[in-house]
Amino acid sequence: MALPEINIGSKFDAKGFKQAETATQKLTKNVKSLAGAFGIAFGARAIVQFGKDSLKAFVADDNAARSLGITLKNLGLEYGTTATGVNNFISNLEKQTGVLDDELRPAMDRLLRATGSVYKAQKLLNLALDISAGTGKDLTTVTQGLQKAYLGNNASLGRLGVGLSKAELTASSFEQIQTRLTTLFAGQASSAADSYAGQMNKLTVATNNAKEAIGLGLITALTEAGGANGFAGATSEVEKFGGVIRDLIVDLGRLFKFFAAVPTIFELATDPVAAIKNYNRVYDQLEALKKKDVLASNGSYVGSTGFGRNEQNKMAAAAEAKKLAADKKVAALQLAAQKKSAAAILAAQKKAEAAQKNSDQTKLASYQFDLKQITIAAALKNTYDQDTKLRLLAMQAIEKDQGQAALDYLKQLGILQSAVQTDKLKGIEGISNASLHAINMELLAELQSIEASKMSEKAKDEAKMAAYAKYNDAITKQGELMSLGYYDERTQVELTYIAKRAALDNYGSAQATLTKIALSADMAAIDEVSLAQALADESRTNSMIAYIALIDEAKYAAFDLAAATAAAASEQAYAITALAQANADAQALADAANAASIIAAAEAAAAAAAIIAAIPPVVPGADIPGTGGATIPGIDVPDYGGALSGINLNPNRANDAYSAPVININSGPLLGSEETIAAAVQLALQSLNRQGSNTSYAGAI
Amino acid sequence: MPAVELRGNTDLRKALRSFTPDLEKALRKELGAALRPVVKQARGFAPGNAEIMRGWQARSFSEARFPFYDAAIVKSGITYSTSVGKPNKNGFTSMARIINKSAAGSIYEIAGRIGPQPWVGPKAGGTSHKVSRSNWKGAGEQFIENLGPLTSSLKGRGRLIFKAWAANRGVAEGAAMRAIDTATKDFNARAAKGPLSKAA
Repeated sequence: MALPEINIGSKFDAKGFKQAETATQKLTKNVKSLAGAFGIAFGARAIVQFGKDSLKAFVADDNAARSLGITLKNLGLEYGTTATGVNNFISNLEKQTGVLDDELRPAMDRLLRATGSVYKAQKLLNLALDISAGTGKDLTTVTQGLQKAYLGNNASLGRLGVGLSKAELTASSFEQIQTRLTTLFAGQASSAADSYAGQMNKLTVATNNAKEAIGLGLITALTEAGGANGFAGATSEVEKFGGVIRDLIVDLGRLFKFFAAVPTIFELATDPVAAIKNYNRVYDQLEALKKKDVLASNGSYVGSTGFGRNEQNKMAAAAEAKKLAADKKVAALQLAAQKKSAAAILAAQKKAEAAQKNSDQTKLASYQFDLKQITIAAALKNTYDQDTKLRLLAMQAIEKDQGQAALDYLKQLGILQSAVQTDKLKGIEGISNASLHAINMELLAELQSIEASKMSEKAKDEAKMAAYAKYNDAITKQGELMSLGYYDERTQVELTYIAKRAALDNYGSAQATLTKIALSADMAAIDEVSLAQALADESRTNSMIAYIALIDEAKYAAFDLAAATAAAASEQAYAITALAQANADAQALADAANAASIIAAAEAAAAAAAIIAAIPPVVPGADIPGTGGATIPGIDVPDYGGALSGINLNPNRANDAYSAPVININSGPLLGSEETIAAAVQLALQSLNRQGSNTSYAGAI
Repeated sequence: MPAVELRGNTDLRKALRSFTPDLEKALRKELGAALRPVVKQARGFAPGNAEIMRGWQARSFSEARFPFYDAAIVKSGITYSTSVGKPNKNGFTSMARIINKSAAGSIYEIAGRIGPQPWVGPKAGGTSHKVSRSNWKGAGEQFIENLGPLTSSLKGRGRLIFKAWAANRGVAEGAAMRAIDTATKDFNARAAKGPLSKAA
């Protein structure tokens, strides 16, 4: 029962009708095409051929589908129903565009491998179909072009004739090109599919799909026929069946021949001898054929009139022996070939080694005339400097094509340079102990060899001068000699020896060497003196600091004492005042307290003044805490530039019992700042140092 | 990509749902807003249980022959739908509809449109439901008479939803059609701007 309802926005929906119509049309076409395919000639041959084609189509389609599935799996895109989705997409595309899935699948496969995305591959495949329909190029070429373009090679698209200039292809990104192509070729595939040719293609697709379906059916049927072993079982059975049929045909042929040879009654009656002869001949022929069969099957077959088991075994053994002999022969031939090949390789190696040796010798000889090599060798001979030497050695190795040796020298050079840099960072500017030792040894060795040579005296002198010059140059390059004391004892002995030798050859470069070493020795002496001086200065400074500290202590003790005295006096006055107030005779007591207070204050002031007077004031003008504004008196130095009138710089002879010098500072009105007093004390100390103490001053004792 | 042509309500709604879900949602909302007052009014036309004839009222036992009247069921059976329906036998689909889906409600709605069923009596043969097999010859006529008159609307005659539709005087239909038209236009405008991508 239809329920009452009010429909709003009703519209005729022809979709269902269209689908039904399309489906009917397709079915009609397919049936027609199938009928046509079957109706070529209703002969068995045509049907067998169709069956073959069907199987072929199914196998090709299956292979393409599997390949696509494997691509999806390899790309990690096989999840959920992706594979089914892609296959459905291709099936739909095939029906829509009339392009066979045999082309679509490889194209999709290619695009999937390029993009790694199902969505992008589908989009590009649609575009490829449009371009293919628009340009007339086959889908494979277009897909290859798009694949290359996606991977960065846009030039391949230019060859497709898509209407994009070389400049556009070079300057644009793939996305831009894709958008442009989508615009340029929009609707080409659908338009082509709707054309007559497209309809024909769709028909082909339908036929091909039918073929594939029939092929699948045939495979399924054969698989089922194979029973438990499946398709493999079916093929095996088919093979067996073929073998049996073959044997049957052969046997039938022979049987007919045999029957034909059997003499008839008429033949026996007319010419029995010829008939029997003929029968025997045919029989022998048939037997021979059977023997041949047995030999061909290697004794596995025993015919009714064939050979016995022993004979078969013999024949099998003979065949085996023959096979073994043949194998042996082949093995021997292979061995011989291997030996020949090894000998040829060895000969080639020897030849190459000889050629290399010859080349090396030629090179060695050529060095004798190589100006660059000669220059390097000469430069090497004329330097002791390790840095220069290593550079030259590396250059020499490079010239001789000895790459490893060159690298080793450069490595040593790097180490040396880093050592020099480290020394510089440590503040060592001159030549290091190790370097000096090395060049010392070189000089001494060279001098010794010169002495030992049989050269003339003049030549010897020249050679010595050259050696000294090299030595001097090496020292200069490495930052000159440092103070002699810097080097260890061994190097110092070497230097002394070299200095002695240089003194003996005291001219030219030798003199320069001697000067260098002497300078180094002088520097050592200066260092010693300066060190002693520094130590003395430090000792004096320490003494002065201790003395100033002692003065400070005394001063602060005086301050404390004055403050304590004043406080005590104040307390006493307060007590008396209180007592007076309490007493009836307040006035008298007050007077007495006042008087006592005055006396106490006077006594305290006197005591404080006495203590302060006894202590040398150090900070003139400073307030004394608790004294009501009293200040520390300063030192009056009327003429500071000349003799200090207020300070007795002479040692106090009255205190001769003490070994330390005593400075008396005259009391009295001392004016001046703390710096003034410090300067005075420093002056006094300097004077003392210059003139010495009573123990060191010449003439004092 | 080949151009897409939308044919029929199903295609439109599918396209809206897939590519412009916001438009689809808005359309459903507007359709609902247009139809809800009609449904409410239609429910108001359904008589209460006490108002209906006694023999049709709910009883403790059921003879399982004729659905009894229950006002609550009838009212809840009057509803609306904004999804595209199945095509009818002529191939038409609707964007939205107001339905009276309870059995008793349907009977109350349209009984008497054709007239009382011809009386054949309880002893007549056959299995047709288009005849009255009541003991009393005038039962059908009396039943229709008791229900009250049918109200005509542009969509048909009835006592509940059709009466409400008539009372609404096309306001709901106008709103619904406007909503559908707007959604279609908006969709086409968006499609014209550039390729639409499928919504997640």
